[in-house]
Amino acid sequence: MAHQIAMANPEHITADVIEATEFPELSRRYGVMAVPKIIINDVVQFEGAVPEEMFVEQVKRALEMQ
Amino acid sequence: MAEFISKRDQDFLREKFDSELSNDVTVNLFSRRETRITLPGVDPQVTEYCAQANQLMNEVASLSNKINLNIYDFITDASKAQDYRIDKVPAIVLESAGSSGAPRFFGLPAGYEFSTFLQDILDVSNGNIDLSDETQQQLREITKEVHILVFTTPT
Repeated sequence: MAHQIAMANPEHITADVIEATEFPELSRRYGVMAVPKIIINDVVQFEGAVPEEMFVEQVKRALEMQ
Repeated sequence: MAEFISKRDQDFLREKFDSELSNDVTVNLFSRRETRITLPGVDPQVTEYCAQANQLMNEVASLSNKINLNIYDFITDASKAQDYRIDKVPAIVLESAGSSGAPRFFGLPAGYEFSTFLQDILDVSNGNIDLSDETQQQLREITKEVHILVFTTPT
């Protein structure tokens, strides 16, 4: 889903899928306890699969918080 | 090392790529080469993960002549890594003339993520975006930088 979102606006949106066990320090820094865990611009985070409308809402929320 | 992709899956994927890939896809893999000695400051586990990613990407690339594999070394090809904004390895960036998007993976896209990886290959090749028109419209209106991290595990 995140990759689809990035592909819709590649000029501004980057999406990285990260294998948590291979990057334990990064996972610890972001407090990854359950997967998938999504972090947007370091300000919004949520866990689990969500419908696309909700994902986009979270992206907008992250932009509003900056 | 045994193959990651079983013979049966190889046959299935070869056919799928043959019938569903339109534009060529480049798989850019950034990794660290294995060395005979353990380099100080380099986690040997990272080299192991890189070797696995190297093998899996070679297996995938061998399944279609439309999939091209570029392997870059994180240290000796540092400028390339910088161009792609790669700050950790193994890292995979997919590119194709079919899409201006470039899906990024850090770590081995194994298990459930392997199907995401395969779907991404098809999507960049075909310029397909599996989102509603309305969602895509909303996303196109974004003019600020958005960086999404998705933490996953293979199981």
